[in-house]
Amino acid sequence: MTVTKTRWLAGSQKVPFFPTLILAALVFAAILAPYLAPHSPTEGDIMRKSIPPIWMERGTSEHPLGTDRFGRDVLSRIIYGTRISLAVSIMVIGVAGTVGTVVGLVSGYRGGAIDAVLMRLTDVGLSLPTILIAVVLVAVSEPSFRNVILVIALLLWPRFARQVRGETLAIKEQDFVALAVVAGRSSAWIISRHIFPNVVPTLLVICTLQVGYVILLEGSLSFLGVGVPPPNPAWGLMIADGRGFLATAWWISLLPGLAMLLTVLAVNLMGDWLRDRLDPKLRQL
Amino acid sequence: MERADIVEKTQTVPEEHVHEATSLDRSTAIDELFQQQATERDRAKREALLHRIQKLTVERVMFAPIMDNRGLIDVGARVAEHTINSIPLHPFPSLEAHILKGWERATCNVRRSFSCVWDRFANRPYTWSQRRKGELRMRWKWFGLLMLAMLAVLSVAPCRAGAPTGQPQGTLTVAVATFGNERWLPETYPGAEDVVLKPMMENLLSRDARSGELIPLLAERWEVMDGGRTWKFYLRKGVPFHGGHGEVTAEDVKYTFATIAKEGSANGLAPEFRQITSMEVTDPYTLTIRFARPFVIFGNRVTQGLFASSAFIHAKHYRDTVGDEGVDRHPIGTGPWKFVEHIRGDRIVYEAVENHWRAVPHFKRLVFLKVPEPATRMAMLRAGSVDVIETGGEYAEELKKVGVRMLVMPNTAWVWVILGGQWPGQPTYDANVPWALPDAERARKVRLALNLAVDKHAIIQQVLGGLGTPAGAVNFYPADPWASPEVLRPYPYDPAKAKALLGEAGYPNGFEVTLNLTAWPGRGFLPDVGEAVATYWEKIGLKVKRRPVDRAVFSADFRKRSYAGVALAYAGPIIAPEPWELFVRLAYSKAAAHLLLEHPTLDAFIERLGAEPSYEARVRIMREELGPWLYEYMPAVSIGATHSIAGVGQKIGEWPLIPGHMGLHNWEYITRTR
Amino acid sequence: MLPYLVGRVLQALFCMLVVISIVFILTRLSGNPVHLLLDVNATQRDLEILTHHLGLDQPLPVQYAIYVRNIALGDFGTSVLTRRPVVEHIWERLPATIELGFVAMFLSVVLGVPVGVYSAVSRGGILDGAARVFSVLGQSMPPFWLGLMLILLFGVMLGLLPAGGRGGPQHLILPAFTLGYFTSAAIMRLTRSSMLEVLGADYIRFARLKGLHEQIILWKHGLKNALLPVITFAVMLFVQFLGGAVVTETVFAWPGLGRLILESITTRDYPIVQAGVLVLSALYLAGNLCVDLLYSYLNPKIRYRASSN
Repeated sequence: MTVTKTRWLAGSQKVPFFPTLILAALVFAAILAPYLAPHSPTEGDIMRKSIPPIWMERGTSEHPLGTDRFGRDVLSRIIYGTRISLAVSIMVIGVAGTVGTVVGLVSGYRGGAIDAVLMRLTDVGLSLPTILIAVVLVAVSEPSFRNVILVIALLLWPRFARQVRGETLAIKEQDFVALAVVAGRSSAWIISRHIFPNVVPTLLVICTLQVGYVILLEGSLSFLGVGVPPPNPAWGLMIADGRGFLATAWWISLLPGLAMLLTVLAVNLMGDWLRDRLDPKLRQL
Repeated sequence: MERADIVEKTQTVPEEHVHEATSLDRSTAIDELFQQQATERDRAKREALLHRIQKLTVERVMFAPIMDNRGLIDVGARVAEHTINSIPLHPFPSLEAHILKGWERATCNVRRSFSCVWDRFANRPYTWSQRRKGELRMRWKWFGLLMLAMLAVLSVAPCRAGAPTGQPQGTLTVAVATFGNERWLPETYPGAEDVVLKPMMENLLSRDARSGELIPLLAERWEVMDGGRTWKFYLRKGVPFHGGHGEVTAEDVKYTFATIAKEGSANGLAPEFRQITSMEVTDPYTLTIRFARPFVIFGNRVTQGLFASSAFIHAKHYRDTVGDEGVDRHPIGTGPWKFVEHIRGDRIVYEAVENHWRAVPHFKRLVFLKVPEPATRMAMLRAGSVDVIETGGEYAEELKKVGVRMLVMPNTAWVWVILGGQWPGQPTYDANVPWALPDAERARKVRLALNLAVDKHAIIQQVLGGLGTPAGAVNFYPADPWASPEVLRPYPYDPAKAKALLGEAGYPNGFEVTLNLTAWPGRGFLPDVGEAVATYWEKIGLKVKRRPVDRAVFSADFRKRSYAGVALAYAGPIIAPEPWELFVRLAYSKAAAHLLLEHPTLDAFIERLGAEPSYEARVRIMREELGPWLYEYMPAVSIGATHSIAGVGQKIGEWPLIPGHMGLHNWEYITRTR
Repeated sequence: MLPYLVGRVLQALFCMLVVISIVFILTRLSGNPVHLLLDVNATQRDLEILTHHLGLDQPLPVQYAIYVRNIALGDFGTSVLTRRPVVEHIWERLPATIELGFVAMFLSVVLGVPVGVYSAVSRGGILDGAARVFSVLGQSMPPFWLGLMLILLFGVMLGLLPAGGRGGPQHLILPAFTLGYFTSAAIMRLTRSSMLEVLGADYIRFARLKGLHEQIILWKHGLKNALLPVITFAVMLFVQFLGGAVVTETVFAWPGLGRLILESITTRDYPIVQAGVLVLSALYLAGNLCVDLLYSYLNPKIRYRASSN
């Protein structure tokens, strides 16, 4: 088709440079946070509150990105915040991905009544307005790390299920599957040996695309006050903290937002590239 | 090939999945065919090739896989299989294009001739230079017309001479955080959100803005007899209710108090009004109220001059006439502002009463807007869309930085950190709570350690924006006659000693404590104070778990006394001049709520003071006995007295406020700047 | 067609039932709202009276049954806090949400379509790259942060636009932009790919061969066909905005339904939370249903499939 000739991720068969760099830096920061961060993220001295970043007057080199309203170092909080964002998104994707993949595989392979029931369930899940339900659910149960992960995973698994089911249906038609059935292999064997490995590329693409969405969703929940509880240095919480002080201490809100933007940007670009590489059918997007 | 043929052909193609391979084949076939027809000389053969290309194109488009957009958006239940995709393509030019072209072709001659005729009629120039001159002339003509029109409008517009001074003018817009439960019947509003009730309604008494003494309002004088068991109020004559619904009589007062006291009432003063044994109406303007036990400070319950004063006088026969629904939809009162409109959750609009008996407002309209976020309120004030905002000490610096005027109401609430669990007489008492141990000495050491660990001066400076005074005994304000210098001295800041004390008390490695972060109406700084205290306690080795919890959830806990081991930053407002009047509500074993401590000695003090009719005697008891005892006992981490602030805009001139009254009031006395 | 329609409607009803059941259970388990309604001094007796008056002292299944029956009859109950019918509250706030959603959708399309068309037509140019950056940024930016930065820029620093509340058109610009920017990137990508697909099609080549003017090809044949999926997508966006504008409404203090639900959660006003979630979910599901019907109407393959079944 003519459209494939106009690939707009120009000339990138190799790994894209900037997204990989940023992601690597983030993972690095998340793992080595205690060594990288100059101060503790939760201890602060309120006598040193709202110090500006180092490039403004009154800034000090001790707090390169300034301090927040309780005297906590912004740079350290951002570094530790990568842990929270990455941990939440990895765990959410893990739970939702596992549940969704299993549901998709079983429903796609089996067909029939199981398929109908599971697809109804998936449709119900897909039909919910995400952020609203997430806010309501986390707010009425007590906001905590575990609840946030469970609620977001609960809202996210249908997307995985749907895509995986579609893939399964396509792969099911292939000859090697028919051969395996004729040879008398059990469904579980066929699913795990033939179908699942072929589903993995699409799954990888979806996972990467959803990581950005999960980070933004968790940020929104924390911003509204119904996400990860304080004093955890979640980026959404930091942005909400600085909300009333945009005129005097804009760095409290701006810098964590920039961090979130860069993270999600890198993840999205990475996901685009992966999709281009791994899933030709979706290439035109 | 005719179109009908194509349609017929495509309808006989069987339904099956068409994979990309086939469409690619078609593509390459089409390309080849194009190349072939370009070099074909024979006309018939070329036509046949073009027909074939057309057929292949149509087939390809009808059965090609179309793109799947789900990956973009990922929402909603879409079609089931991934091979059915969704961009429809129309191979045929759209019907509208056909119609439009047909119309154009049919009418072009007509249109051409018509435009010739029109041009001649309007005498339009045909040549380029003529046209240009004509355009310029037209432009000047239009300009002249515009100028004339503007002059006409300006001359006809009414003179903007200012209304004679003394007439209410303009709108005063106020942004508050909450309207409470937005109800207008006396037994339905708790009273904590009386900011929006005060403009429209009045109490029997008030307080002087300069001296803080009780002064008459709806009652022109009053008598206290029988050592406080009998109160007699003489009402002012000729005070009308809004909308011509009669005057205030003693019947209205009696009905209001009875309604407040009835069972199921949500009004905050209900428990106290239930102590009324009888109310007599001797003549239309005189009411006698009797109590079983002396109630020497009943006047403080019917005064307009303090926070949460919710004994506003309502009209009895208005409610009888229009019913509860009618009152809730259009309430009336006796205040300087009358009700205009109430959009639930958004705004309440009042209008000035122009011949009010007490004070005619300087503004014509008073609009309250509900804006829960403090940041948005500040932005609105800065932009000029509101004139007054409720705000807290934590925004003091921000307000200064953006150049907004700040009104300070000094010493309106006392901030302390509640140490929950000090209720030894209750069934929910937990003997393991470090600060409420049965061993009073050890418990006191723990409480002292917790006090010494916190730098109160820093908290008031940094968290409350410097708007406050650190002090010692809870609820003993700096200017009170019963506060001696000893009890006013704040506990020192000494973390090393605190740590040592903890060790002495048997907790060398600290202990775990949960700190609730809860905001109360008008006191949004409390979670910040809690967070700051938590960081100080962590420095002496305690493990603090922060728990943001809203007031609704916590209400259940402090009524049932079920929060042992939990600490919480709280600010007790001044609801009465004397400190024990606050304690009777939240530090008394017979009180409904517990927000400080319960102790038999304190109970005894409260009962003694409640029965003591002489003011001097009460001052002496508080100064010499209650104060020092409270200071020694140290039931909470006492931070100090705090002021409330409001941000005001350019329109506000002078605004006299009653000392000690947390929350905004006296709207009718605000003057306009010239 | 009709069995499909009926099936989808039933499915939507079932979805809504699931949603309100979840919300019902969780709100009931989270605490008694009566404590917030009464003053600190209220006695236990007052609490009991109010609880009984609100019907909160009955066992949970009974409350659930009553609630479902009332919904079926069209009675959404009365607010616990203000004792007014819930319908009034929702009716007061819904127009604000719809207004915001509509303007945001409009802005989204206005931002996304021209950029998408341009980048499809001039592929590989520098503006195409800029459009790509715009699109990727749009999908990566946290919307609440964008809102705050816009307030900082236009409200605080420049003082041009109001920072919140609802009023004239100048109050609408910032919130609608914040909501719409995120999705304008998706619209841009969709327009771009749709245009590319259409422009690469054979009938366009045909038209060129016939000698038609390039502009006519682009606008009459190309864009008109490429816009069909974009329009349906935009309608779906509108539906999504209805439910997902909570964050934007909070940042800009917009008096919409999402914020009402959030505030009602804080005050434990169950009937409003339940009814609000019900209304928004219903609109969301109805909107999705319409969009799906529109898709199936426009897509000949599904139409044939449905008619041949």
